[in-house]
Amino acid sequence: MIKNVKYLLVALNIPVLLFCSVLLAGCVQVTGPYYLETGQYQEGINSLEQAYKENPNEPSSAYYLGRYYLRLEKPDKALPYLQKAVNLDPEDADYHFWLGVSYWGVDQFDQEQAEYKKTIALDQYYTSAHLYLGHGYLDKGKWDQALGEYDQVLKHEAYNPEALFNRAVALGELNKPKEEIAALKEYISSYPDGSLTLKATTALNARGDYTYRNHLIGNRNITLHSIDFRPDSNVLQDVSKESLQVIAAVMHRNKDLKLNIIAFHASDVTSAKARAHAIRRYIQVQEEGIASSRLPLSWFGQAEKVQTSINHVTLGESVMFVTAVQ
Amino acid sequence: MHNVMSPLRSFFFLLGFSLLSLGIVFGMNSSSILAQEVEEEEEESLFNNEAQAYKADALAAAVAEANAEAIEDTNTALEEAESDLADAIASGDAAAIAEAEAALEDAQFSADEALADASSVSVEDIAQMREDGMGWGEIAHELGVHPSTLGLGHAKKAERLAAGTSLAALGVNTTGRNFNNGKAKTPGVTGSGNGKALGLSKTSAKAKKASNENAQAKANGSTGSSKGGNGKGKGKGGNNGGNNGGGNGKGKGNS
Repeated sequence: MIKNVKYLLVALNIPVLLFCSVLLAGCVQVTGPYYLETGQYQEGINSLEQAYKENPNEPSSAYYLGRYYLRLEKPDKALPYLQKAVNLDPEDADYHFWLGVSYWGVDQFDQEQAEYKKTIALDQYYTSAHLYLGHGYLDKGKWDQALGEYDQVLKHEAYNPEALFNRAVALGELNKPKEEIAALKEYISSYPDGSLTLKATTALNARGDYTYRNHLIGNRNITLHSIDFRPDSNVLQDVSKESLQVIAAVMHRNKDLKLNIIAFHASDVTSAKARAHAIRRYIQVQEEGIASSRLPLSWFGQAEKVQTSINHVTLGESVMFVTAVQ
Repeated sequence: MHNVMSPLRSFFFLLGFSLLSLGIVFGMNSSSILAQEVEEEEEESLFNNEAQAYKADALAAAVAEANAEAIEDTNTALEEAESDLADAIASGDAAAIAEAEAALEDAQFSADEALADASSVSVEDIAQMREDGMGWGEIAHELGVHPSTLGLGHAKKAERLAAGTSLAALGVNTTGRNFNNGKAKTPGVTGSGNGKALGLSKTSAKAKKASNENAQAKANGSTGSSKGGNGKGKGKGGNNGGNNGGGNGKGKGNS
């Protein structure tokens, strides 16, 4: 009789235990993302550590604990949890990816790359794994392989800024100047602001391409597209108008700013003068109240000479903006 | 007869008046355009030779550099105020904490104003960048008013780049891993504010598209997995990461 009762209890317990496991796993699926999204990482750790102790074979708890520690910038603490998650569920691409990230955090770069490769084996379109695998190759100077990974990223995320930028780095190191210039211009045209663009533009100019240039407008260094005109005319190209709109907005904001417009056109001083005027007129149309006296003009029927450390580059047709100072 | 002529007379009167008005406006415009053309024709080039222009450029660079250092001083004051507040909190003295908080608020306001003035963008745009999680130094870098960014393209002769200088030589590092969401942060000030004075990202159609698509990629799941993020319900990360920077993607930051 007692034996029968025992069997009955065991028989009843199995579904109950299964139900509890499912409930717990379901609970982690809800609470896990919640703490990530709300930024309550320590609270998440407090909450899930208990669940993890009660059910150490549930991979989600380990996974989220690892993610919380990564967010707290403690990759050493994240690592064992993510290793556990991977051991419990080796078919999950996310687990492998984040384990790779935590390996990077503790300077275990070979293991890091191995995890990204496993991620991609499980999911070939996992763009972040391709991106970080590319970063790893770039860090190791494996330029060709880095390039291959970044190209994979860009197939799915055409404007991924790190992939766009690092393609240019890899192409430069592979000594492919034409492709490097194209890659730099693609990056700058996609993300034309900020310190990285200022550097990309400097590198572009060092390659002899002045499609973009950094201009000191007031106290600020701003990347602008070259001011181009339609062939054999003094009519502004649309792409250059976008840059002039920025200048107009800056001058509208800063009423004390006085900016020299200096146009160069080799062997055609009349065109240089007309272009200087066209630029000023366009800026004045964009924002009311910018007096001509704030945009003094200069023009030369010669090419502009841009100095580098060892020589100078000549630009047949170009425009400089120079902030007037007292 | 009188009844028929009256509307006709009114019509011709109105027509005549309209034509006269148009003529006056057109004439004024024509004379205005003509005057502008004459003015432009007679205008002299400010600089007589290229050397004057290059000298003015070098002078502007020197002045901007000096101003950037003055702006940096404002940041130092802000850092001191932050440090004072941390000390006050550690002491547990309520009055000292309140005083330090007020001092920090003042320093913050001064720093924002200095940045806005230097970069010719609005204080609101600066505030928006702060709300987006950018620190003072990062904003100064991204707006191109930080001393380290001013020389890019305007270096003194000894510091100018040789032809063919690589990106690596510029101290560029963009291989950090993002602990938050595994995604690339949108660079520059693209995501902050709306003023055209912020730069080309606000006037270029392509840049707007790039920024939107990168933001969308971040929103589509934590890691860009083809499963549509997380088929098992794992959460997506925030987007305030940024890279960690340096050798093997570490250390140097991602400025």
